[in-house]
Amino acid sequence: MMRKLSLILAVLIIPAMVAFAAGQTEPGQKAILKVWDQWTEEGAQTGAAQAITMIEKSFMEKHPNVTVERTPMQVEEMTNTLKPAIAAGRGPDVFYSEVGIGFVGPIIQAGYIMDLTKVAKERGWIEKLYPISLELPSINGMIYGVGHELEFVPVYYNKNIFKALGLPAQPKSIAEFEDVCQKLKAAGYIPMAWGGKDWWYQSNFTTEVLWSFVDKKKIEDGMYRDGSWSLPEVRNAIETAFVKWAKNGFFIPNPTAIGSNEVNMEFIQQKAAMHITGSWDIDTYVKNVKDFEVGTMLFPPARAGKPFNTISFVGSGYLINAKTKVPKAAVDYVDYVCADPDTARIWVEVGNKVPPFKNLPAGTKMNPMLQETLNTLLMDASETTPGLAMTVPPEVMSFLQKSASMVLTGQITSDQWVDEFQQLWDKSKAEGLTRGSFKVSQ
Amino acid sequence: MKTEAALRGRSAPVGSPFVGFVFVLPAFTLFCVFGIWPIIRSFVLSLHEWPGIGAETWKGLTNYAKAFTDPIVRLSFFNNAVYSIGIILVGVVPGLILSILLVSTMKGRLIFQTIFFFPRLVSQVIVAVVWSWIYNPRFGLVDRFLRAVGLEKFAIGWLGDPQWAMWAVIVAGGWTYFGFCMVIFMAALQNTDPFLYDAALIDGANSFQIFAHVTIPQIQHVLTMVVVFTLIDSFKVFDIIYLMTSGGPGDKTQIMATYIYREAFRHNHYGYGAAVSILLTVFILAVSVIILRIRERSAEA
Repeated sequence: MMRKLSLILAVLIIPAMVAFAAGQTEPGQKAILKVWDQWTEEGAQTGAAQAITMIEKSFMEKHPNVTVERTPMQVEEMTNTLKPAIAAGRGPDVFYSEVGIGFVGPIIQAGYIMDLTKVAKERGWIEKLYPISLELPSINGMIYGVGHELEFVPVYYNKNIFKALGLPAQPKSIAEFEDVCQKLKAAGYIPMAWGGKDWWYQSNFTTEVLWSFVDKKKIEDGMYRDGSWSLPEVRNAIETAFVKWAKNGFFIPNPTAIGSNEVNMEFIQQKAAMHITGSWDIDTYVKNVKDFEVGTMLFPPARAGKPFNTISFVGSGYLINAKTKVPKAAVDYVDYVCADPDTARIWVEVGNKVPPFKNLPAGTKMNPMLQETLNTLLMDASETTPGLAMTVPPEVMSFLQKSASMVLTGQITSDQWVDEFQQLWDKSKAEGLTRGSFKVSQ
Repeated sequence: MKTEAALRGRSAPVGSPFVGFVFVLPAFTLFCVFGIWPIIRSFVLSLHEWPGIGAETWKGLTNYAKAFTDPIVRLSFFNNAVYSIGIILVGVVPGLILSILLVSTMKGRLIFQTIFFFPRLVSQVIVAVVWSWIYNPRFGLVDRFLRAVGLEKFAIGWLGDPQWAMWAVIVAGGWTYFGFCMVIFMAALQNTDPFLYDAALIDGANSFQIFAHVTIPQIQHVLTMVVVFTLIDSFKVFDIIYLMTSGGPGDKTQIMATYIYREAFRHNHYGYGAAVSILLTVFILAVSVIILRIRERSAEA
């Protein structure tokens, strides 16, 4: 009996000890670096998946004592599984996830995110990387991540249709833009390929029109310092886009039932002349657009003379688990993926992504559409502001993800939109979830 | 005569409660770990505020009080009730009618049974994707048919229309359900007493009278169970609605499960999500018990 019991205990305990030991590293032993990211081999991420595979291989060649175990997953899966995994001690060492305070805030407050402020200085990230890559994933003076996949939300348009109709390639105001839309409609085209079924179309387009109507300073006051959103310009933006333009037939018919696949299809099949989307869709154009040339314009300001203000994003950011057993390997990995000229070239040429690394090596071949997007952004009187999706609390984000369709279908008015947005912001502020009210607890 | 060794090897006689308990223990352990413990943990969580990681903050019954005044909880509950009624109309009733038609010995009934049961075998994810295509206003079958027959004004964006989105989802959900109901009812009908039908025919009863006064009373226990399971399933539904509408447009198809998911996983209000889920569970249990009690009383009567 005792012999049987000893055998049972040995069978149970020894594997557990081995598994525990496998997580530890000793000098000279290979460290295992667990990475979770979103570079799945689907849709707009296909090129990026190839890029990260090359980068990972190169990293392991340069760091022969580190084995990278990378798990790509969809955004939703990451959102649902990251927190429980980290809390259970089974989480990754490095993860590429949303960087907004709404998602990352609780993880920071629970002490699971490594403070990278000192690392950023030591590794020269502040000089090497675009400011937005470090500004967005930072709060109360703490840099907690490195934003990657710089994205912008211009307006992509069918150059062939615009040329045939003699339309300006860059309307300078909303009035000019509406004139373009009317002419496109008269010629039998859908002016804007946009649909409100998928949440990101709702939140991005809402932000786009807000940025057009509201001055940058007031936007930044609202986002970073809990300034008021109950502004007449906000109301005008919502009324113009989701009441007036819907009534004028500027969108795909029945827009609240139109998802991203249909939107892409309408643009690629040349039924719609403009596509309100972000630079993440350049990969889609490269693969699917054969019969026409895609151009880039900026969404115009509400009035001529006001600067163009384009939404900028980081797709997500690399963060490091504060409880990682391989901190040096984790920092080396993030440094290599984000702040190295060789990997920057791979991101651009293979992934069709804009990496956070500022100074691309000479001779880097950028996709012409991506280059045109960046050139367009660099034009005079053009500025960028991070999109609301990067900075708002979760309940405000949920509202942004559904409220455009609510105005479109008459469930709420523009005034009610403004009131509800402000109420949700005030509620989130009271809960300490806005960037202005969040406090990193010690 | 049993040897001493044989007696020593036998710790208890066969058939004793202890032996039964040992056999049940693995399944019971699994049930406790994956069934009972999560319920207890959910209840404890519902008394706290927890953002999904880190410390839990005691809130007492605050989350429950909030649930009773939350307009979205009321709307979600109402939508679940509409969905339940819809599934009964689109799933259970057609299932019953088909079972009566197919329980006879008509030729080819096996083929029809297979065809009608097939949707039940399809994953809910695939059902949601395919029906989303069917309802698509640009290329979907429904709107293309309506345009083809000159009913263009009815060709709307079904899943984006606040009035019709829920009914569109109900049709998709009912499509997967009626075949299952049909099979259950067919099994029940095969146990009915044929002499009662003969007697009814002799008394001059028509088809409807036979159905109402002979068939239904004989299968009422199965009918009750199907309705109870339909209610439970309808209040638990998540995937088909999440994938087809995500609760939209606005909150027009928001149901309890999608709202709980949003509150917990999107808004980091795990405690509140747990409280709403506990209330939902209690409601489903209460309704099930009431229906079963009413059925038992009417059966005794």
